[in-house]
Amino acid sequence: MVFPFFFQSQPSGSGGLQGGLQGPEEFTVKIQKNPLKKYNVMRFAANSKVDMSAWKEANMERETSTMDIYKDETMPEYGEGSEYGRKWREQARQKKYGINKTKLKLEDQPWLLKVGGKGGKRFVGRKEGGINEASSYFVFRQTGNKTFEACPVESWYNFTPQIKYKYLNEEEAEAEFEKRHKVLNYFNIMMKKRLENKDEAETEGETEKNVSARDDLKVREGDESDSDLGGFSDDSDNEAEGKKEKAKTAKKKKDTKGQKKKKKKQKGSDDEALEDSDEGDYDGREVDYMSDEDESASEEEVDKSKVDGTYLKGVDQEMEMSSSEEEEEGEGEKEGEAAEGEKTTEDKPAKKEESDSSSSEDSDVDLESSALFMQDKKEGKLKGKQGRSKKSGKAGGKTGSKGTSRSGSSSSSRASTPAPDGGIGSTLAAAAKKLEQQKGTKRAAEGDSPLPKKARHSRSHDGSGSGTPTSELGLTEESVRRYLMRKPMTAKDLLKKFPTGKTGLNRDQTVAKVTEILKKLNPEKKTINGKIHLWLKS
Amino acid sequence: MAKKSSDLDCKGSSNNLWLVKVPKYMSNKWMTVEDGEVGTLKINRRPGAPKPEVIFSLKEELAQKDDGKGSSEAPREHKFVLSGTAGQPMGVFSQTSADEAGSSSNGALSLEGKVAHRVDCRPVGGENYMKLKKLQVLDAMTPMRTTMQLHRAVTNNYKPVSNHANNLEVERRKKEDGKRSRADPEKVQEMLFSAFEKHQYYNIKDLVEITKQPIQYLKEVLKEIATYNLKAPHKNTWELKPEYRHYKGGETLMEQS
Repeated sequence: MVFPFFFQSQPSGSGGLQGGLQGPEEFTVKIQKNPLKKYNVMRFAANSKVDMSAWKEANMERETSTMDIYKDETMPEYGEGSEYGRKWREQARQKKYGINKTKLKLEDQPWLLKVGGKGGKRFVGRKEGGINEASSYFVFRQTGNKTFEACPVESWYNFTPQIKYKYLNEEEAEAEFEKRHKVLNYFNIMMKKRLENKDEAETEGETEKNVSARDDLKVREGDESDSDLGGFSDDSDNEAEGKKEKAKTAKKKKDTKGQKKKKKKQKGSDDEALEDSDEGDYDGREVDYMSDEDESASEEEVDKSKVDGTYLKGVDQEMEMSSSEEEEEGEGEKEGEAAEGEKTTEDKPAKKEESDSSSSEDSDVDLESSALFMQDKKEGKLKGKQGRSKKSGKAGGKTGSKGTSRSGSSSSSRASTPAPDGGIGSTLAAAAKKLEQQKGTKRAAEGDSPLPKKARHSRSHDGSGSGTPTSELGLTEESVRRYLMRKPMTAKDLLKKFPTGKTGLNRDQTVAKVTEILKKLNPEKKTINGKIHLWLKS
Repeated sequence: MAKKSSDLDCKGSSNNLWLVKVPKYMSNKWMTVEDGEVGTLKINRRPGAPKPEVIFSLKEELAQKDDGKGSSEAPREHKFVLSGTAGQPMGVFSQTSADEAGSSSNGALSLEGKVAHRVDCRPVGGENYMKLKKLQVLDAMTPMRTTMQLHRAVTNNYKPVSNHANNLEVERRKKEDGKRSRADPEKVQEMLFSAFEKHQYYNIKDLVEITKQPIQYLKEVLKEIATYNLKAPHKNTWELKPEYRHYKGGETLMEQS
């Protein structure tokens, strides 16, 4: 039955078949028309080296996972949850608006071919259109000695290997493309996407699928496949594919880098400028250029911080970095750079001790000055440091002055606090306490000065009559007294101070209460501008 | 090992096949034959040429058969140009379905073989071919739209009418039937319960239709046993009150009330 030489692309002169075949061979062609048996062509990508004769086990099914798009609009037709005449109304409505719902045909769905059982290759076969329009394809098979059987081909499917990794869709790819000058790390992009997916999956409660090795970017069974993707599609996919490949190779390279930078990434994925470190980012960091003598002094403190654990050290480094950046900015205009260098290095170890989880806005300045005081005790260069702190204040003069005022007021407390062994930094708790104390003293110092300012402001506004709200005080004797002590007011104005909304009383009640209080207080009556003002002399 | 219907039968995976591209006029002719011969193939192996020369000759009577498309002019001889697979692995699989209708849903899949050669069927030029082409071109040149003269005037266009017959009919029926009369409230409730057994949500107009009651009266009856639903998804519909729901029959309730 088999005449191999015809069907193999060997040169016919290679003596394949014996017997006299010098003359033309005649075969009859018969058309095999079986309405029940439909023939289809499956084509694989060029150079993909798929050997069909080696297939022992194969399984092919239609891909129906993407077919549920239109399914969600069904409502129960009868019984609970249904509406009388709903179907008709829906149809009438769709006709009216000309909505055409295309029904998904199973014949147009792609094939999912699995070769070689569970561990084998998977292919997706998509239908190619337009093959039957201009010409027809037939499959010629040799049956018997002298006959060929021809069967018509119904449809053509192009099979491509199924993608198992995740890729960015168009919008994501475009977004990342926009940021390409910022982000060098492709590993990051997929991490972000994976984290997103993880969050979504968690909210949906899809924990089981979640757990299984989210480390690799493998596509799961239930994932929707993009029907547009395929080896035979053109332009639009090239960019995405290019990015995919880049991501793959970059991932390997950046993996090691990623380990180091993990801490920084987890801090904030939106914070792009800070997220990735390029080659020369931290060159300006002065810690790299620490001189020898300081190292010996600072070694002690460094060791202690190490004892506390890496956590502390990490945060220290953060603080270091951010503070070093601030310092660099603030110190741009400074004179003695060498002096600065010295001071900064001295500050660092002190900061390492002092800094921990506290993160108020002026914590850096706090720490700076607190560090300064640490150094004060040790080196006795208080004045020099004060001058420096003045200049380095980011917020300008105010913080500088704050620093100085702080230093003035709390120097005594500071001086007493450091233990001789450097026990300040020995425990986190102690350090935290220290900072709180400092803050407390600072706040206390500041507390008086801003408040009177505020009060003054409010008093100046009182004349207009709107004044400060009484939400805290309510309608009490105390509040009335305060108002009347500040300045003389008419009864009307006084009433205005207690709006009905705030105190929960209506107009009449307010009036009654106010009159009661006034009777108690018995203020003086002065006539100003023809109106009687009430006034309480303190 | 259970055989799944989605298994691809790989028995024929080593068969070598030719995939032949055939022009439409030829395939039309071929399909008119019922399982019979359509022609002969002459395969001539020439020394020195890597691929054999194949010539297909159409059966004479088939060639002359005129199926109204000018196919009697079809050329008798065609060359089959063989070209290898050009690196693209191709195969043929078949789907056998039990009935004529759904072929994709329930077919038994089997791999028929792999394609060894892609073949092009080219007509050998000649008088017949030219005639065929001429006919084809003429066919393609005819415009899609033509003008026809009507012998009879079109009578089903709609003339303006003061009142349509349909409307008149409706009005007459309304007058005849008269206004709807109120039935006993219990009877109405009965009707309502049986209606609500079928569907949960009803529009007031539909209920009027079902119960044939005046709308105001029906509303009053409804207020006792049902609530009006204003929010989506079932907007402006009435549904039974929760205490009446899941009720097998309305009779017991009426006995109680």
